Amino acid sequence: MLTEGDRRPDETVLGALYEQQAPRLQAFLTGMLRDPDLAREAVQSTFRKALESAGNVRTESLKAWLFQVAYNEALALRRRQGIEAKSLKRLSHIPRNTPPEAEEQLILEESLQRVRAALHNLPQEQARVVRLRIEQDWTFARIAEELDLPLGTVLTRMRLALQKLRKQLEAPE
Amino acid sequence: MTADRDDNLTWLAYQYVANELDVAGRQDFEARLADDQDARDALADVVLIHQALDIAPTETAGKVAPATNARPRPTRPAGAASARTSPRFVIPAVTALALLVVVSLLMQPDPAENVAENGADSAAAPVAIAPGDNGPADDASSLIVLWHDLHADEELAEGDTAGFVDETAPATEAIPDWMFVALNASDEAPTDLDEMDMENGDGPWPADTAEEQL
Repeated sequence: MLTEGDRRPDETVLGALYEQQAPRLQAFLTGMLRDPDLAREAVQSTFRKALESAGNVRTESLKAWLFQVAYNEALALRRRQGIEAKSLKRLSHIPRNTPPEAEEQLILEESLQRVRAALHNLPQEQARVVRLRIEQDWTFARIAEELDLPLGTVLTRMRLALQKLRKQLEAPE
Repeated sequence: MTADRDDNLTWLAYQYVANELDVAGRQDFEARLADDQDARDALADVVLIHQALDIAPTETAGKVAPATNARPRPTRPAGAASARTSPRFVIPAVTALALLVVVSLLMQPDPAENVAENGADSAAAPVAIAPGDNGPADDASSLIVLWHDLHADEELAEGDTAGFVDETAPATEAIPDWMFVALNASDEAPTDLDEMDMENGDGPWPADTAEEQL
C-alpha cells in the first residue's frame, strides 16, 4: 500500500500502485480509446514513464499523476493511430491479443463481481432498465416504449442504478 | 464532492461511454478528464460497469477462479442443450442399448430346441431334424417330430391349448407301433424307380389292369 508523507515514490510503491490501479487505469483508457488492446498498451507505457519520472512526484498525488500520464498517453495514441469513436458494445467483443497478468485480472474480476452482485440488489425496475440498455443494447426510447413508461422515468431509473453500482466499485485504497 | 455532482458526473461519463454526447459535449468532457480526477474515476467506473454486465463469464472463466456470487447469465438454461449433446448422456445410452441387444439375442430360443420342445413349428421341424445318414435313429427322430406335428395340428384345429405339448411326457410314448413298422418297411423298399417291378404293382401308384389289357 502507499505510504503517506513527503517521501518520493520508489519502485516498490509504484509496483503496489500498479497492482491497485491497473484495472481502473485500463478501464479509464478503454473509455477514452475504445479499444481494450490499445488501452492495455497505454497502461504499459504509462507505467514505464512513471518509473522514469516518478521521482519528482509526491506520493499523495501519485494516483492523480498516474491518470494524468495515462490521459496524455491516450491522446498521443489517438493522434498517432487516428482512433475513431466506436461504441463500447462493439469493442467489448474484440478479443484481447495479450492476456492480462493474473494478479491484475483477479483485481479486475473482483470489481466486476461486486458490480454483478450489486445488480441483484438493485430494485427490480432499475435492474431491468440497466439490463435492457447495457446487455440488450436497447435505446432508452425503445425501453420506454416496451415498458410503457415515460422516457424521463427510464432515464431516472438508469441514473439511480448507475449511482448504486458505482458505489460497489469503491474499493479500499 | 457532493452527491449531486457525483450523480451528474456519473451520468456524464455514462453518456460519454455510450456515445450519447454531441461533439461539443464530448470535447468538454475530455477536456475535463485532463485535470479532474473525479471525472476520470467516473469514467473508469462506468467502463467497469459495462464490462461487468456485458462480458459473458465464459470469456473470463478460464483466466481466474470463479467468484461465489456470480450473476447468472440471461441465456438458455444450464444443461438444456448440453443434456442433449453431452457424451456423458450419450455413452451410457449407447451402452445400455448394446446390452439390451446382446441380452435379447441370448434370450432368443434356439430353433432346434424350439422344435423339440414345442413341436408346433411344422415348417422348421424337417430342417431341424432332417433325416441323415445315421440310419434308423434319424428316421425315428423324424417320426417323433412328425407325430408331434400331427398332434399339434389336431390340437390347433380343435381350438385346444394352442399347440402346446406336454414336455414332461416321453417323446415316443404315444407313437403307435404301426408307424415304426411302416417306417421299417419303407426302408427295405427300393427307392429307385428302375428297381421297381411295375407289373407286380410295386411303385408309387397302383397298377392299371385295364390299360394293360389294351
